[in-house]
Amino acid sequence: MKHILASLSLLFSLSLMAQNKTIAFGEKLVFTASYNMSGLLTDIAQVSMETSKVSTSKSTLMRLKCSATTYSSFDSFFKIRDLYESYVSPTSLTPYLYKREIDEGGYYKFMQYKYSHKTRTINSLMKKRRSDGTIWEVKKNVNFSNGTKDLVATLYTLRNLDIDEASVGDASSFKVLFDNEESTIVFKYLGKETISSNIGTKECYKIAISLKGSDVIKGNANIIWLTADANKVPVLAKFKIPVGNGELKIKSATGLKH
Amino acid sequence: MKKVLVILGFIAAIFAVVLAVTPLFKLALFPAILSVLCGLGLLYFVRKKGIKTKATQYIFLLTIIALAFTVYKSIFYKAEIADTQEQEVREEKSEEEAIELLEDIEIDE
Repeated sequence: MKHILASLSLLFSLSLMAQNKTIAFGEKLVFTASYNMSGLLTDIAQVSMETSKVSTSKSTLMRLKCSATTYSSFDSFFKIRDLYESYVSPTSLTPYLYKREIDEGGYYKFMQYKYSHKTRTINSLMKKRRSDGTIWEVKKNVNFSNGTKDLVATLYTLRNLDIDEASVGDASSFKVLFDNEESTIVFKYLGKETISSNIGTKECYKIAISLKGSDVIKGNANIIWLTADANKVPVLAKFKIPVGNGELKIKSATGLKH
Repeated sequence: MKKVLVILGFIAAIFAVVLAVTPLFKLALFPAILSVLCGLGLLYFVRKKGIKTKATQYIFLLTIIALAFTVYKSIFYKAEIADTQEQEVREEKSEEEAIELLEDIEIDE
């Protein structure tokens, strides 16, 4: 048992130290988020994932930007303008700054993590809008364990894993920081499937996503399909919500590395 | 039984019309099917048992309105994003603020 745990932790640390072989600067993936009820799909929002080069006077970082915007017909119904950003090392995808700004139907929240990898602390800043329109701030110092990443960096790290070497049933765990709390997210490889999408019919890796200790994100209900090539582009994602299902379908993919 | 069908048919038909005018118009299909079934049930009562009711006509009328809206929107609805400029400005501002915060950071790799 000890040996298994030791080799698992070794594999885990190796995957964390892995070099970026998949994500290039200038990549843009656009998705359509739909609500699925008994097979009837309703397109709700556009989700995009973009990467770009960000230079400071001392270093060059990669900006991983994910945004969600509701379609104009939904804006009067329930307007969503979400922006998730992670500024990471272009070689190892280690995050240095994370920003999350959500505006969903009038609910506003801002979260920012500035990582200090030497002291393993995060300077966290949270802003929320009160009902009277004023903003209140909460600053906090949070300790994090080795390898902890934010949600965006974790999503891109998943694409950087050597899935081709995995066997069906293999799982990888990642520590994710969300709302100042560390959680463990588990990616379980379920095998290969052929998916027909807007970018063509692709053979894909089918991966189940679950959150340890969560009743909502558990089991094999939340699944992502990544193309089984060097780019590992997410072409489809299905997730369960209290009433019906949600789907993310790829619309376009540009600037891919391979 | 007739009363149950009338009440259920009306509720379903009104619900279908309401859903048909919202962005979730495709979901109007479910209550529309239910109201059609209730309407057909009422037609059975009219023909077999000779109980006359105007409710059947109203239920079918509301269902047709809901279905007309749903079909029209399904054909002409385009999923488009509004105000991208506002979003772009917000994203640019966020990047500028991030660069300021990252100035003192050195990547140790």
